[in-house]
Amino acid sequence: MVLLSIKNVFKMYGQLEALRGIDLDVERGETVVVIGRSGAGKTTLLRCVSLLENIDHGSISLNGDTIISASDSNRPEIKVDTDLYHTNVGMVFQHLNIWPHRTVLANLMLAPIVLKKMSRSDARRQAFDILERMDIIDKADQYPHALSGGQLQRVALARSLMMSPEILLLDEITSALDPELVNEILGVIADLTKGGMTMLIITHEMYFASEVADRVVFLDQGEIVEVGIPEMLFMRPNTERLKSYLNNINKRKVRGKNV
Amino acid sequence: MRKRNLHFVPALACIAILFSFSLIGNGCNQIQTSTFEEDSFLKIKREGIMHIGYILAPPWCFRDPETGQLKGTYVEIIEEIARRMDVRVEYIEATFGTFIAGLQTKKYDLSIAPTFSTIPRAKAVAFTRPLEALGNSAIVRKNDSRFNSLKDIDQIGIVVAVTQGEQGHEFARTNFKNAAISVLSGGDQNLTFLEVLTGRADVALGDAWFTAKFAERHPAIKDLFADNPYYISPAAWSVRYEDIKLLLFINTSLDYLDSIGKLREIYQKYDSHGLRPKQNWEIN
Amino acid sequence: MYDWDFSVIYRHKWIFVQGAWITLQITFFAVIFGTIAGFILGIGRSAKIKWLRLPIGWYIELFLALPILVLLIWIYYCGPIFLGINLSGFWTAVLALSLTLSAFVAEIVRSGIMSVPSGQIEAARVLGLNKIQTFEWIVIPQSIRIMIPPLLSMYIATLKMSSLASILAVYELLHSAQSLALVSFQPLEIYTTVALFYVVLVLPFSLLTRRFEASQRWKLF
Repeated sequence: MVLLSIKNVFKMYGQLEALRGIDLDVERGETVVVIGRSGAGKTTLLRCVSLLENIDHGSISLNGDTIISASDSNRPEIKVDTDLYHTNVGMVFQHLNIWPHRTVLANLMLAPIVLKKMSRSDARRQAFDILERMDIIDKADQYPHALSGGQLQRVALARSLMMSPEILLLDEITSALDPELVNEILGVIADLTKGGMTMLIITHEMYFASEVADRVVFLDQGEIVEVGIPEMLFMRPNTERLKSYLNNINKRKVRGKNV
Repeated sequence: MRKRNLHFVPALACIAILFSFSLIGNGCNQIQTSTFEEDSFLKIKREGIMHIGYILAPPWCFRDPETGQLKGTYVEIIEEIARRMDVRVEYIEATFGTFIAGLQTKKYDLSIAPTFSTIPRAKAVAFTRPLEALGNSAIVRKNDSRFNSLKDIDQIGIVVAVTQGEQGHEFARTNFKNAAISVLSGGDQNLTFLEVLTGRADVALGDAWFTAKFAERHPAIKDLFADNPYYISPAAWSVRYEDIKLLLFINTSLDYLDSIGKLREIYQKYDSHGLRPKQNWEIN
Repeated sequence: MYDWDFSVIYRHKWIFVQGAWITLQITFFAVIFGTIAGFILGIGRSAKIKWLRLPIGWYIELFLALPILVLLIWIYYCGPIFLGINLSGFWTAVLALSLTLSAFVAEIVRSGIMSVPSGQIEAARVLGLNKIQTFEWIVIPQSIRIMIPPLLSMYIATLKMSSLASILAVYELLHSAQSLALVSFQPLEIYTTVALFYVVLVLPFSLLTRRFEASQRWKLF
């Protein structure tokens, strides 16, 4: 059953076409990984889905309800209750964006309490629950500056899970980590996948992608060039663009650490 | 995308504010502050209050450091007038640089600040009859024997300190051709005299009374013209030109107090160095 | 050279104390009004609405440009004529200092708000917090800590600038001291004492700043 539906989405930054006719359906429980060069439009796509950016053409729907649609003649229309939308769509940023002035626990509890979605005790219970699953419960009362990169990664993830979103958007969450730590986060994501969470993930780590993805989407210059199961794309790339991209990636991996 | 540079707006506002300063200089005559223009003299008699502007300048107007009370020769004179007129006085203090503006903008109706009634100044404000003729003196360091007369002061290489706007300033500007004149602002003659004490100037000019008192307090300097003050000039009070009635009244009052010897009594009480105007029937 | 005699200071010490009290009062009111106005203006300046941002920008540029002395004299002497307001010297000083301070505070507030990384605001948005909630919970707590040191230094500057009120014959510290100098002919002792008094008045502010900076519990990434 289709959870997220992206239809013919165009996005312009001034003269630059960042997204050109993106069509993508994400099934419930599916994990879709988006790969591509820097500037291909991956982050832009995620920002459009989370409504941080407007689209210039096309539509995005969640659970069959149109969230945002635009056509050449009229300005983008955001149709849904944005509050409801935001609690259903969770996002983890590349730079994590943890709030440094509050403790880990407070970071998690802030949104649910302020939005009156949960009582304080419920929020606390939920927070402890998630922190335990992420194995960082001992850091609950610490401030972010006392945590390591990998721990903060999990805090960001935990925060986005607090209101039990239907879909999670993850933007290159491994790029800020040391290669050894990628495995850690891999485990956490894998658990989430097994738990049935729908996810749309951007990553550079091919190993990571091949482990978690149900499908892989290759984005280049704002359009979807290839899409399919990981084995198909990585072992038997069809297009020249994907081939050259994979070549570059492999070269990098040989020089760097082997995961 | 249009991008208008609107930074000229605050610049215009500043210019407008600065421009309005020149209006003060011209007396703001055209601008009415009250709906019904009342003559100050009539207002004083009606309200029973006289608004008097003053500046701190001993011995004419000053605050007693012990009691905080306003005292001085001119304060006592105006109190005499008010008492005999059966009105009370409200004092508004101003500073040397701004007291004329206070008169012109009607913060008060009469200024008792000791002002030399020169002709250029008389273009802006109306002066009463002179209350005194005040002389000027100068200080030099005690062991400095170079100076005995004004001519000795006006030599190349000599530095003379004066206070801006004071008689010493005007005198030096018009009469000294050779000496270097150092003009200090601030209305505090103490600082001008300090120039001699610290060695930055050879001579400092000031009014006779202040010079005498300062020399008393500081044995390191001497009062050069203690017995023969120079540049004796008339000091008077001021009102606005439209208050002719008030001017006549004050002049009458001052004449009266002078003839009954009250002015002399007050000046002597404060050991003031001011000279009274000599009346043509007086023999001594 | 100069015969020092500090006994005149000691005999009339209350003149300095009373003057210092007036200085503190002027500073107090100016700080209160200037800070409140400055916060409103600074927040308005950061808003997206153009018709709000531009006039506030002009106001700020005007009062950053005007020397306080000029502003003081203008309000006191031209105020009654142009604006119909007739304030005493004390309240003129409070008004002039408040206006100037509000411009500086507005700039401090604006840069404090902008110093919060936009990513944190986006994270709040994505979790569902609206603009006001984000402002209240994410922007304000962090930006306040950044604003406090420059605000305190502006308050110190305001206290020192209160001495300009002496031009309007307000009996704050400087003018009170000057009135004593005029009758005692001992300017050096008097101005030295004035300087000492200002140092003592400013000291609590600078100690507060240092204390605050030392107590920062967390660091921004």
